Amino acid sequence: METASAGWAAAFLAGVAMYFQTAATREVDRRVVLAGLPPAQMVAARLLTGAALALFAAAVALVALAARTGFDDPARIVAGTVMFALIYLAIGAVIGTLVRNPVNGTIIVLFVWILDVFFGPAMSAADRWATRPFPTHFVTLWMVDLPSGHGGRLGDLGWALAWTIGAVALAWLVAIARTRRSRTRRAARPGGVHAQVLAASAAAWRDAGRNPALWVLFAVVPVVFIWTADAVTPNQPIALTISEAGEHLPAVYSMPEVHGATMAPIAIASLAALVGLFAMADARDGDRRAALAGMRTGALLTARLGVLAAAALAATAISLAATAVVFDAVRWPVYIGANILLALTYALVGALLAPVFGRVGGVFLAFLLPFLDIGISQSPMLRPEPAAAAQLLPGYGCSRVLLDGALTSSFNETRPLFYGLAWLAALAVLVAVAYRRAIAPVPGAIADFSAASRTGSRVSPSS
Amino acid sequence: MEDPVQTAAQGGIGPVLAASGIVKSYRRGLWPARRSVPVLRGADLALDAGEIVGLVGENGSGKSTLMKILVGALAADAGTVTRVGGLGYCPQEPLVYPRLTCDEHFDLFASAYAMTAPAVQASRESLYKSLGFARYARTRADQLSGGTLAKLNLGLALLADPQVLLLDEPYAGFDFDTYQKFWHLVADRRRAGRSALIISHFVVDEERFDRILDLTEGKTVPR
Repeated sequence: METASAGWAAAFLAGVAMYFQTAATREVDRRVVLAGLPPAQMVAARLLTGAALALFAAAVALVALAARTGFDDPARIVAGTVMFALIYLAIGAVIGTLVRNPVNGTIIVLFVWILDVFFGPAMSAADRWATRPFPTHFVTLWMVDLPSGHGGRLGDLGWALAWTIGAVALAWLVAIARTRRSRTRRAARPGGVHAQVLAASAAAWRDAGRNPALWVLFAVVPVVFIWTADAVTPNQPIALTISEAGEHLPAVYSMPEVHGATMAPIAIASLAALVGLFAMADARDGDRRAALAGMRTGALLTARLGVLAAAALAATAISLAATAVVFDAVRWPVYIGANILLALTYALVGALLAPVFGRVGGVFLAFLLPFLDIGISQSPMLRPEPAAAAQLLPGYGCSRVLLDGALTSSFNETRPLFYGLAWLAALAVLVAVAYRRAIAPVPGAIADFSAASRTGSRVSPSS
Repeated sequence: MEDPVQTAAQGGIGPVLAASGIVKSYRRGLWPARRSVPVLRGADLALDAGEIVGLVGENGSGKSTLMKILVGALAADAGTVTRVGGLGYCPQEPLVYPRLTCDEHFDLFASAYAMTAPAVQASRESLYKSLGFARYARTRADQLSGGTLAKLNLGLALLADPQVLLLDEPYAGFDFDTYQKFWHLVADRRRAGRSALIISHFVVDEERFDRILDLTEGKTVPR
């Protein structure tokens, strides 16, 4: 840990110094660019100055370390400390480019640094999936000579260098993008598809963001479902059937392990269904009037589905974060992907509930349907494999894929995956049709004769 | 009686909004006890440029149904509707987004009406001033009083200064001062050649209308 502390100190000093340098000079730099200096040159000069700061910070940290403990492997320690400093130089530059307020900027730099250090491999577990993407994960492990075991062909040093170079390159690009002369954007044509999608999306986002009931549910449901279930699950063996190498095999797991994997999707599906319900039920009257005023139904639907998808992803992220505390999937990417598919599927189910059952009945069903489907019909806690009838439900494909990701080391659920995708596509079509029926003005009900082109056409609405 | 649709179709001076032979029934009950309740039995209506027409009738006479058919919110069983130019609709119940502010409503509806940013700004300021609710510009709709919500409801119909205004009980909830302001707005628009069809349960100031139609037994009858 003492070895890594030189990197931490260098990182902190370099990050904060670069943040202030970038934030303080941003407007002046833009003025120089407006005067004619190419933005790439301006940013390169700024980063080189920052690199000098980073090297100075690294030198100070190394001197302090040498004075206290001495060096076992000077080359590794010096290189590691410099990489720490350069990565945080980039982080400071990006935050300085994007965040103007110095209090906010400093807090963000500090927050990133605290997360990185305190949950990093030197102070926490060396091999937690969730902390592998942290900026100095590989640098720390290489610097303290503790092989990660998950560096792959690139190796820990390769990943550390990739992080360093990538971070500086990203900082360069972000800084150039913010420094260059702003191009005059072509304004969206008033009333055009683009303008209407933008206006409807802005309204939909504001509307969703001001729904406190939704945010309370987001905070409460994952905790209640996942943590409580984990707390009360007895540690006993449970038998279920898994697919491995194309074969269905019986396997025995501990009950908390399986329960951890299966509670997140129930929470996610319930939240997503509620989000879908609220998004459509609350907006129906307003959208209908906006459509009568001239808003395209497609623009309104695009906005609603955009908010719906983002909220479903947020529900997934929150639920999986709660799950990660009590459960570690064998293959997180597959597990996450299956949960996202499930979230989108049930968000669309919720959207369909709104016009049929209304808000009150819909809330009841938004909780009941995921529970019946995911919590009972697909649950490996109740039977080793879902019954034939359960395979007709929307959660079947997603459940099989997520169990595959949670418990096995290779992917063997291609058919259920396509099954889940087919449900998603079918539900998307149904939602679009139902929304159009509920919102769109009566087609052909009115003939609009412009003053320039009055004709003698007659329109009979539905006769 | 002259067919208003034919008049509209022939060009030149004619109705900016014309409805002919509008028939509408609602189905009530479940099969086999299902029955059809006729509401409109061939209603006709024509609105000329610069004309303010009142549509009155008893509760349940079909005024709002006719209005919804004119707007395109409801399909008629039979009949024809034609119009010239843009249309502004003020429904009886304020159909708004509860969590959006007045300003945000105007921005969204401006996009629906294909208005430019300067035009929206000018029209919005004018409406705030005319109806006296500028201080609620940034207040959410679900936090507005009934009267202010009615102003927003009306403002959304007036925003684009449409050729035809269809107003369903627009001044329900207005105080007397706002009621007067409403009629000033309507008069201004009439002078500019705009038309309005105003639904009301009863008409107090008959002189403010050019014509009044009674909706009786599913048909419009001039008063």
